[in-house]
Amino acid sequence: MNDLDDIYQELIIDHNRRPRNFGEPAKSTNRAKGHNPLCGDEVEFFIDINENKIINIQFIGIGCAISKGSASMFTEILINKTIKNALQITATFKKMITTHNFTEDLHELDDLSLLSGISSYPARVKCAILSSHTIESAIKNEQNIISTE
Amino acid sequence: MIDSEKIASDFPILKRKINNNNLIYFDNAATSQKPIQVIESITNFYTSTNANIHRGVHTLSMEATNLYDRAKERVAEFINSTDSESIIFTRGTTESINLVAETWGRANLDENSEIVITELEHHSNIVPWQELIKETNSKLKYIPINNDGTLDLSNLDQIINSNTKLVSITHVSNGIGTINNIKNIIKQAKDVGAITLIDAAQSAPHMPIDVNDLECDFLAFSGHKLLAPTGIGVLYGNKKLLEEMPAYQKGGDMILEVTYQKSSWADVPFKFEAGTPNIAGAIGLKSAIEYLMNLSMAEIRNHEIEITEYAYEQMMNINGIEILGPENIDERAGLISFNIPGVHPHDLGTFLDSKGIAIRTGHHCAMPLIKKLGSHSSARASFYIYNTKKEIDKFITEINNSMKYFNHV
Repeated sequence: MNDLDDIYQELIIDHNRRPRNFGEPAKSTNRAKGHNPLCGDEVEFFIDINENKIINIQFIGIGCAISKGSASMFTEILINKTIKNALQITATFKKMITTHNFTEDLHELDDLSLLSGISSYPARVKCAILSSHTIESAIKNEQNIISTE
Repeated sequence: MIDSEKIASDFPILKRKINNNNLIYFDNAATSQKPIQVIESITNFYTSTNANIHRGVHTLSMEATNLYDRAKERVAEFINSTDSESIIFTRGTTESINLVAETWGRANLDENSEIVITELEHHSNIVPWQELIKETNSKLKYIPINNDGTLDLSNLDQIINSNTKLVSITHVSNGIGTINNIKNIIKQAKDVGAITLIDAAQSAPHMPIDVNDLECDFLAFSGHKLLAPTGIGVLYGNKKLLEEMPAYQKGGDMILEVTYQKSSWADVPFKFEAGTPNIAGAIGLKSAIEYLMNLSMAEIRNHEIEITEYAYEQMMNINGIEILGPENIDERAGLISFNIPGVHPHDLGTFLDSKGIAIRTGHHCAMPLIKKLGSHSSARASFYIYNTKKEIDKFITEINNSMKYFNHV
């Protein structure tokens, strides 16, 4: 294992302690629930989409620093993005955390690129992937609950 | 008295460094480590005695058969059964329970039958019965738990009644460590004529087991949690019941006579052991049990009481900690399931791993139990013969450090 700080970057811990855009909004056009049955983590995203653009995104849930921190960071990064752009970001994110020594341009991921260290921790990849799966499901307005298993 | 540091020197893996720290292994409820004596017994078998059992007339086969049969005698002695023919080797506790469900269960349950288990069970003592009641149209009932994770026995005489055909309960909860007073429950079950099965996966490695005294019909446990290799486990059964039961898997080794038209079964216990068994596993199990009996199971329990109390007292001083399960050490095995404020169990698990400490995090294969207790997951430290107070001290220090790490401003 590498240094603990590789996985728990300062900013992730901060997002875990003080999650941004946390809570259920009065209005949302899209929503989806995600669940990791193996560890009990749960997350629900509420997205307000207007003319193919995310005008609000919030979440509720319980989980570890990786799952909660990444959910919080996603809300900051995806707001005001087009749907197409948002789906690109979630796809790149997934590639980053499931590929060891990912070398592609992470510019579009912004702060989320801090989570790249998780690719060295196979036991924790699912913690990070829950949010991106659930956000994709919310954008597509799928009705089923997303599961990491 | 158990000399943990001396015992630890028998376990090669405990010399390993994990992330530049000495390994502190507190995940014994998941599986135990193996002493050199057990490892060598397996190596020696493959190096000098390997052969198939119960059929060869050559020297190696006779030696292997002898070792396998002696392993059964040792297991019988370990749980104070007078008859090694009441010992069936399986892959582990899960297979032992499934064996009972698929043979005795299918043959004896109908739409009027009720199976009683508890809310404390490991998935392996829930799921086989959930499937069996679908096939037999019988019913599954649960003995509920109190908030402290002990069984609520106030309505036991209604839950266990004349419709009850089977009472299958865990001796020790793998999730939160509760030790159940199984003797009383077995007695109540016998009073209504029900069959009893004890899941001893978490008790057999840690305390004396006496099937003669308990008078249970079945008792199941795994080798790998008590120093033996994975893939070998035990089902003890009441001999008379075993003789009445239909066979389990069918094939080689479990037959008496085969013609192209039909077959008849070998005697108990071989009727339940189709195919070449895990011979090396049985020999490893024999060596593991000899190691434990040499230490004395009563002494092992005393050692675990001592370090569990030591850990419990210090953990209670951690601000905001929640410890699941009973407070009284007489009702708690060497296992502490807990949550600390501001640090998710998974984060704690990763943090402690970086310090060389192995614990389990999650729901510990007891999802409904952890939910019932109002948690989504917990961290679990479980102790064994090689664990020391010094290791507990380091564990407590690192829990405190984790709270600083994850809650700093």
